[in-house]
Amino acid sequence: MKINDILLIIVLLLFSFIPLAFINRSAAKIAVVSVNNEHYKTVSLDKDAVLTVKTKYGENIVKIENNTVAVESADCADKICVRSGKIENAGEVIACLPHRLLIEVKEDD
Amino acid sequence: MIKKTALLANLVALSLILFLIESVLPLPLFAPGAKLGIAQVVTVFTLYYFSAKDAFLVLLTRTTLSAMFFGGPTIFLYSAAGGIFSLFIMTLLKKSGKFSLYGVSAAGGFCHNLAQLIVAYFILNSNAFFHYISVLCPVGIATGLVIGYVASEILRRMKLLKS
Ligand SMILES: [Zn+2]
Repeated sequence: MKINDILLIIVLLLFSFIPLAFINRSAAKIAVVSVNNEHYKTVSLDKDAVLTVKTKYGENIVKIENNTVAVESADCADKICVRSGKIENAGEVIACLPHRLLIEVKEDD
Repeated sequence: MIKKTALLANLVALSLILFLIESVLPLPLFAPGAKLGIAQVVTVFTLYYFSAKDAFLVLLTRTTLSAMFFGGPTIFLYSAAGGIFSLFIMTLLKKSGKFSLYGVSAAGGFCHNLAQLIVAYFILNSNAFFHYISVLCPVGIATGLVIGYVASEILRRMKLLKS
């Protein structure tokens, strides 16, 4: 490794942490579900629920539990949405690209 | 020439296997589409052993095949964007002559994940993806360093074999 490599890595790391400055966390949260950029449903994270998102792209079972939201199962090819696990903070998302599905946690306002 | 073509074909097969292994590994994924991009080791190796053009060919073939095997143009766009952008930046950095394989590969890992987040942003149209830059880009740098190590070891041995 050269000194240039280390400088390059430091610059890239600094760049990576810029978005952290824009994150804020607060109380009441909602999960906004959209499919192919269109709003599908908004649910509150306060109440446990199971939501079946069935569209022409496929099916995802979304579970809301203890103020977290997760994709419990899906019939997509890559299962990345399922493996993304639970999310709970505003700004966090779960995406299922094959199904054009996006779940975003937002602050309720 | 035939030998080179055969080796390139093997590299495509190898990167496809790495890609497959990665997609079935139960990695703790803390972000959408989080992937380590271990198939990148083939890109880095091909870039240094042959050329940017050959690395591009191998990459494009692998991406096309993997999209055919696992579903769809979205996945193709997603993995092609990561791979191509990363190769482009790595080629520039390598050409500049200012960085070693480690720096080049680390930047490649960074760009790979950055490009994928940008594609996810455009497909799903959500600012939320930008928050993941703080997680996935450092992961990309770390993966890039490991890939750089593996690639340099392979290159060293291949060159020993050649002479
Ligand atoms: Zn999915």
